[in-house]
Amino acid sequence: MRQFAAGDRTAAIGWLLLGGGVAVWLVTLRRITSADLTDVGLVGALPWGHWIGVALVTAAFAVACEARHIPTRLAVSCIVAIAVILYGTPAIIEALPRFNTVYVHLGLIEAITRNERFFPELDARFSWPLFFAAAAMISQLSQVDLMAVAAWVPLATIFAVLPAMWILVNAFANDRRLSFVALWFLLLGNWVGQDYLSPQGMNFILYVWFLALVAWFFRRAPSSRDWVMRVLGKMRLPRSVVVDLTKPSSNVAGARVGMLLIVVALATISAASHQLTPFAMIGASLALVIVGRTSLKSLPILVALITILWVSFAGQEFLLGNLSSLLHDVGNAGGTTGSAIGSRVRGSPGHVFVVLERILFSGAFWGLAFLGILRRLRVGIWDVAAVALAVVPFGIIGLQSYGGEIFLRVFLFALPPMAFLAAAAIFPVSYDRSRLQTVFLVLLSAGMAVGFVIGRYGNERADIVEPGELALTDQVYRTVPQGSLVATVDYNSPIAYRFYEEYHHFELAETVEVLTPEIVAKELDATREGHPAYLFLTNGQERLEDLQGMPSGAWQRLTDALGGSARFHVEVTSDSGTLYRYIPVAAP
Amino acid sequence: MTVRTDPGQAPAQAEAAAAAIVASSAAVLTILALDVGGPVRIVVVFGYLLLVPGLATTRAAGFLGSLAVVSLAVVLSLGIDGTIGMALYAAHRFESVLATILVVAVTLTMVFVERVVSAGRPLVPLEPPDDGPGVAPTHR
Repeated sequence: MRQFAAGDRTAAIGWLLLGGGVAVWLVTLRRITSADLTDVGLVGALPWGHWIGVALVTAAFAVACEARHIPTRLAVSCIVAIAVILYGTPAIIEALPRFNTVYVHLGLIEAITRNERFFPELDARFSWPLFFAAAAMISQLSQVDLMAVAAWVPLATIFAVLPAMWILVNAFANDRRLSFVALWFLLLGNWVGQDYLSPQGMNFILYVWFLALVAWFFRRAPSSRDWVMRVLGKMRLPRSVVVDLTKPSSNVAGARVGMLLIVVALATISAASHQLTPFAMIGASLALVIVGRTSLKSLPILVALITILWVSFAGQEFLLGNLSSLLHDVGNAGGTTGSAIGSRVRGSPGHVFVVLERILFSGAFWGLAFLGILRRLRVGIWDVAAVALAVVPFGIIGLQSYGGEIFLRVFLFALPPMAFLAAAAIFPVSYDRSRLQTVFLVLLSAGMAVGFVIGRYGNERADIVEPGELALTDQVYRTVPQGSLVATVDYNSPIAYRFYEEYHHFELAETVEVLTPEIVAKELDATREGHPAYLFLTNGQERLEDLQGMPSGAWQRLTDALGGSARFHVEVTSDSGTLYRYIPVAAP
Repeated sequence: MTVRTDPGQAPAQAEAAAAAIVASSAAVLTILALDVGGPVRIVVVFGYLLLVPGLATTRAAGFLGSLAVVSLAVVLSLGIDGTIGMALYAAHRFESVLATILVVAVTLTMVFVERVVSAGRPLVPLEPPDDGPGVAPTHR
């Protein structure tokens, strides 16, 4: 009776902390503009209530984890609350969906709905169009404004990932404390921000479900005859204990067939919607087969066949056009690493700090996961499946640079098993539980929450999209004749969010500090193929150039020079930017 | 006809789940056929396309509805919507009513598979069983 009372008191404290944290976060939220942001992004613009809120929710979660009988409702509520705070805040405090690429994707979807066809000749993404086709069809049939929902997609994506993660973690351990902390670390660790309105966002959900179903429903119990167990057995490690994992309900006759069909469906949806994820699925399923942790031994071959079929059918145009550049990256791990990391450590001091923080955060997270492996080994548990799934995404580095983004994708694909292993660094097993571990969880979570905001929202000064820029873009559509060339100095404008296929979008090759009206004219003449040409400069582009280290005054010099040039005429201007019409020199 | 029942779910509840899927399909078809606009269309059709085809698929595969199933149902729904959309857009044959009929046809096929083809096979939960106290017997 006394024990129940103590448990109730603990839960009550947890609920109070949670309620207080959410309330403080909510009441101190306020709208922000780009003027509130610095080169380190959102971290400096968030109100004090955000941090108090994070601290109180973390404390509530720690209270839940500290309890002998972990209160499920409290733990789940804390996880939901921290997800809303970390992933939902920008949707509330910014006027429009953030991130330029969201607007490109809105443009691709709008092009499909207006023309009711794809344009594979214009963009490689149309060769993997399932996501865009789904979004276009849903918006056409339901008449929902995707712009209105785009800001909430990251939160919806992470909510869809959490149940899959829960099942995946149960493939590694039958320990609810460890499972909850793994979910917690998945939320705090996911700084890469690939969960916006995009094929890769949807594919992250597909990928985690794929891992969960293959590793959980088709799990194969370790046998002493497995080569992995024999190798581990020869090492001077603690004697292995038998982990008593719960059994999936798929043992019910017939359910395995249904689940297998769903696994194949997930792989097929992925193959038709994203270039990279199917390869991660092949690697993950192959890794589980090699370490003997799944009964689906033919699955890697099946997923590979599905992927090859799709690439040779719908992706053929892209493949033939880019074969040499794709093959160039194969085996060039050093070059890929250089392009993915080295080229990013540049820009303003604030931006360099953000990039270094991301590298440090990723390294520390992986280090924590390594510590988790060691701590589990110390008590005799060999997480072979989790380690295999955490390591295998790194193999992609040797295959592709993915436009310099490969480390982001590697981090993302490795995140679910890494989050489990990182959680194991604190709570390796349920029976081994102390106040010190809880204190460590709180301190680590606080540090990770700050690191998450810096890493994920560190480019917010460039990523924020302001209503003025969108209004100016709408004016551009009314002014510029279709078929024209629209040039920008970088990609950071919402110029492609409508009429994607009607204009030729072009980024100037030279950097702002060397650009003059003559150089701009030369680049436009070399590209426009007789079509009218325009130069569109916005505040968003200027902010990105600032982050990337543009010398002070360079932007003003360029706009002054363009304003005084006879070859550029101001067509539209506002506080958010200017559209210049290029006046070519008449042919003699 | 053998009617399938779920463990922990009364036959009436299993019937009700199938009936709800059929009724929502009929509602969506009606909204599209009559070209009803406004918030009703957004809420009903958006919710349906995002959830129901996948939910019917998970039930046809033999799994009980739950919070985890909702997440899986959403990605499967996107897959079904996307496949139908891809086919229609690629063939330059996209029409709202035709697209809706195809989505509803797939959904009702899944209901048919669940209620008739797989009749007698019990639905099972997707999630791992809850270990109650939270201190699972990790070692023995």
